[in-house]
Amino acid sequence: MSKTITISPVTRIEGHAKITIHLDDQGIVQDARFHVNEFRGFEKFCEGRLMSEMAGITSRICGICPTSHLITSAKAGDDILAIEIPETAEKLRRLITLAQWMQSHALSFFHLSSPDFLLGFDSEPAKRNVFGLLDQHKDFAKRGIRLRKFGQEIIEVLGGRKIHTPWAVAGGVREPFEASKKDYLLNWIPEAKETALLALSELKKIHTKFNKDIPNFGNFRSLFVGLVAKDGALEYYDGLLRVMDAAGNTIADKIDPRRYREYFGEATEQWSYLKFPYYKPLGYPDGMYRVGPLARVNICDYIDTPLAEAERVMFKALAGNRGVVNNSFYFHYARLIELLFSVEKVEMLLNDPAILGTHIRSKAEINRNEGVGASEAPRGTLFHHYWVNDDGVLQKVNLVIATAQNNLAMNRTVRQLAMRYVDGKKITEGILNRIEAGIRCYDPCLSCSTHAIGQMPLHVQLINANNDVIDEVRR
Amino acid sequence: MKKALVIGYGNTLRSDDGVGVWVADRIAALHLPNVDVKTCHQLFPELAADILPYDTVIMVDASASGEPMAVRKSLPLPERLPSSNHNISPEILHHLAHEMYGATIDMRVYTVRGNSFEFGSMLSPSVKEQATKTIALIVALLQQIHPKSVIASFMLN
Repeated sequence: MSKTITISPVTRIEGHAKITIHLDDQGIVQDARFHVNEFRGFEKFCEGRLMSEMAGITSRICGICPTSHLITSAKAGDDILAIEIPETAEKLRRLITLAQWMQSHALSFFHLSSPDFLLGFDSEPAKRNVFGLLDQHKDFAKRGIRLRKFGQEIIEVLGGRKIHTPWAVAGGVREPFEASKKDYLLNWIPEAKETALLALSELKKIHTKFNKDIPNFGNFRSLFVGLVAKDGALEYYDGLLRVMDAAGNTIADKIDPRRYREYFGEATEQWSYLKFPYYKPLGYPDGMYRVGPLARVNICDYIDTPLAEAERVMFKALAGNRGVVNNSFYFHYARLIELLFSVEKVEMLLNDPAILGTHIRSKAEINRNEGVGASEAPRGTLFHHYWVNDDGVLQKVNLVIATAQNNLAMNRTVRQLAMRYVDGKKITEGILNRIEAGIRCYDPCLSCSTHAIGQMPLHVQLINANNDVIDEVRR
Repeated sequence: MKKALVIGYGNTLRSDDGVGVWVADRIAALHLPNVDVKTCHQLFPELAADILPYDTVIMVDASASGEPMAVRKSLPLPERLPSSNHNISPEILHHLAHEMYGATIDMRVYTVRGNSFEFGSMLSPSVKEQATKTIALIVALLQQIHPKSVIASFMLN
């Protein structure tokens, strides 16, 4: 008699999701699926709106990465205006994008994943949280929260304190940088750098501590996709698309993000509302690819800040002769390299006189009826694609979010972990937590727009082929 | 000098989920002395540092169930902490401020039950009605904390 184990919802990720683990008659895992239950409908909601409203609207999609949507939407607007934005505006947009990375990466590592790492996957669930971390590693936990605060300070200095202010607009930004705030922000840099380096140091100890678990955390071949700068450097705001295979071969390069639809398709499955993007030349599902920190650090030729570049070289050494790191556990390592990069790059930008310029916005009429914006959100490449009429009214909207692009890989990760740890009889806390931790490598953000629904406890069901619940766990 | 902070949070694009922000915006418009107002999409851990200067913190949020309007004055951590998402609950925020900084802040959470969480930027009429009552309750509470200045300011508006 076959069985299905359901873990619903996955905790410590955004939105509502569940995991089902499908067993055969012998209790051996046959498949595992990561389901996303909420239908967004956001793209339809945007139709009929003015293009000029989109930056403000789309930044309200998400509470954790509003800035990424803000910037990407403004870039789609730039494309529709067919306009080049002033140098100052681009640098300020870069600055706020880095602040978003810093904030998001700090939350992912310090708040969400560190309890697993520093307290242990098998530690008591009641204490495996931020308070358990504060109890045993107070300074570490506080540093992580302060790093997030630094990111937030940058965002508030640039974008204002009001939530989701459409500071970035088609053609540039609305407000210049206040020179008086420069020193205030620069004063944060030494502490932020120290914290990022401390996190990297702790993570390397974790690599040793969990050396038996790590090989099962999404260790498989896939493509890697992201933006890189024209000279091959790690990119976060602009650049061209690169596709690398699991052996480290660049199989497509210098793709204009406007042409993303020629290369990437979106499949659907009946059991999930989240789409399954894939690389078209390899078809579905063979065209599975990963985006985000692991992909970005894998595909770039170098990082243009010294400390992060030194870490990238060590990261690449993990790949050995393969050329790329294929294990999703190392998303954490790549994320912390990017965290360090963000701090270094913010320092460089704050010291760049160009950010103090006052020419911050170019203006034009609607010059194209279609525009694409792309940038690297903390979780991966984000595309906003708008079709407008001559009055700038949205006729159609397509948003390709980073979490969806990792959907196939997240499913593969869950399956690998389930096959390794689930014995078909009992789901222990440690097993559950490892499966969830596998998903958390990707730091998915599914639908943070529904927080009012509240947080539900973890619910696990063991269901046989007759749909009878034969075991049930809540935590 | 005692100071109070009002934090309204929620997604203003999900209809009644934006009620916390709606309430906070209207309290901000009253310009009450010694009362600061903040709005945000959701609660984050770093807010634990932001609330330190205040004696009283009033949170305003939407709820999906329960009474049309409710106040929680006691904010204990649940026996088993709900594993946090990217956002945190007022209970976690309250305890983070205490655990990290030793703060003892009087925190209260006002909730207004939403009817619709669909995409949209308008509040349901009944939710707006409850939200208006919530503003009165919060102003009354602030009046207790700062008797003369608050009431004078409120009357002027």
